Amino acid sequence: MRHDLKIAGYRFALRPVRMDDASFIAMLRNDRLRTGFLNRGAETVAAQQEWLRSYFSRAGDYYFIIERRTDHRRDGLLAIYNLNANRHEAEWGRWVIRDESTAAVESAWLVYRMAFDTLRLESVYCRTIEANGQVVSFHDHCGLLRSPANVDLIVDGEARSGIEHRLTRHQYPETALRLQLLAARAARQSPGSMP
Amino acid sequence: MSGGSSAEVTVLLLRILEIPPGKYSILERGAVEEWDSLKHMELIFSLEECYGVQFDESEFMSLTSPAAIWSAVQKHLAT
Repeated sequence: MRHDLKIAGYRFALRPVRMDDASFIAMLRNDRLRTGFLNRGAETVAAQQEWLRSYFSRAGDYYFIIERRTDHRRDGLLAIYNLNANRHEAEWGRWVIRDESTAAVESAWLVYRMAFDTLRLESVYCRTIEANGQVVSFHDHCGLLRSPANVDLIVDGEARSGIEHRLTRHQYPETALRLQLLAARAARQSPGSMP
Repeated sequence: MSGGSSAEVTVLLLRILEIPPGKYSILERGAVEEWDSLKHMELIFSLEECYGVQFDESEFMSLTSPAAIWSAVQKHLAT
């Protein structure tokens, strides 16, 4: 959906995806298709623009660009979607970051701040293909709780076993603090990062 | 730590990543699922404390194996 939500950290910020991001999104997602962990989705810029037109009219879906604060370089993507207003929960995902970027930890901190402080959600969950071991491990190490059973995920029409992690408002401060401390320390070693 | 070596880095890496010795024949970041982005940052800062060095952010993503890490540590210790 079209939104105007923004949030800034030390070195990175989240800002709404715009139509002129279509080529970047297509490039980054196509680059990651080799991993087999993403839906093929829109492979061309034109197809990505079409997907964005549909996204802009879809409620409960907040798609963000992760950008560097110093020079506004686009380093990645993430989204909060499948918003359930009655349950005050949403999913987060579509998380893709440039290979050379160090945005992972700080962008996770920013998405949790967005979910809990800005959108006032009570919980967020994310679903990861089980074979995507480093992302599963990341969520485990952030202190998110795994659901008792694996979930079925469909990737390009193929059923894959997935892990669902969840962070509740109760757990949020501890996870946020851990991520923030790492992000802050990394920022001290990054020329031009913001206070 | 005193002295130092790639093997010493391996020991530190296994401890930070909580990997039992022998689980992986090769410790390369891309092949070790426990070596996620959060653990990578914790590893970098532990290395800095152990060796009294400070990596530049531009080096973070190249620290992908004990040999690469030790090479970077040595470079900093020499300057």
